[in-house]
Amino acid sequence: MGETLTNGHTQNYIGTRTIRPDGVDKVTGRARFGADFNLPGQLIGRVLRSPHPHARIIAIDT
Amino acid sequence: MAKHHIEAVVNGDAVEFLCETEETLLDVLRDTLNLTGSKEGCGSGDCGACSVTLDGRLVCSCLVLGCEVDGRRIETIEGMAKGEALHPLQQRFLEHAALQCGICTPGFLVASKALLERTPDPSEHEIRFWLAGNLCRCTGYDKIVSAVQDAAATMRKG
Repeated sequence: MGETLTNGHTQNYIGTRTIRPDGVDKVTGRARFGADFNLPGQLIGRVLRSPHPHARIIAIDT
Repeated sequence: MAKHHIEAVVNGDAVEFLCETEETLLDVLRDTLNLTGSKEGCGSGDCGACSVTLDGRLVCSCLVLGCEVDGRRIETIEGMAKGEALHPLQQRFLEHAALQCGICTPGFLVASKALLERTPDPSEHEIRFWLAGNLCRCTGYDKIVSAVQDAAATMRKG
């Protein structure tokens, strides 16, 4: 429990190794990132890159 | 065209699903089987975030089609811990702070496990070579390599 410093004080956090609170979820694959959600009616954004450099966008055919 | 009817074994469980010809194994795992631990980083086999094993062989699931896995055995990150008991690799990744954002972590763990099954006592060079197909953009590789070495030592003790 804790780390004893040279001045005799015991610290609970400073100087100790801690396990990150979201670590277990991340190493087990349980952590849910934005891309892991799939909701009804969800809209998905895509990047459409222009094949032309320095061109003016007239319209985007969706 | 009709969808393909596929039967496979995922993390020891028999599963069956329907998939389109162009759907990747990663799409099937994430969208059909709801196993979202495997991540899509690039979709082109460069980053290793979607690593799984197929009949024991390490593959990028974004480069395998769903209809290719009929009758085959797949292991993903979700099958690594046994209930609440973490695999030694998972435990060491935590202790060595070998992860930050966690997107690459499932791929690194699956790939490292495949390495240790073949090479129980890998050198640092062998670890770095084996994990060259997995990219991490936040933690860096030193902590990951030490975590794998430490886990290998634990697993050799039994």
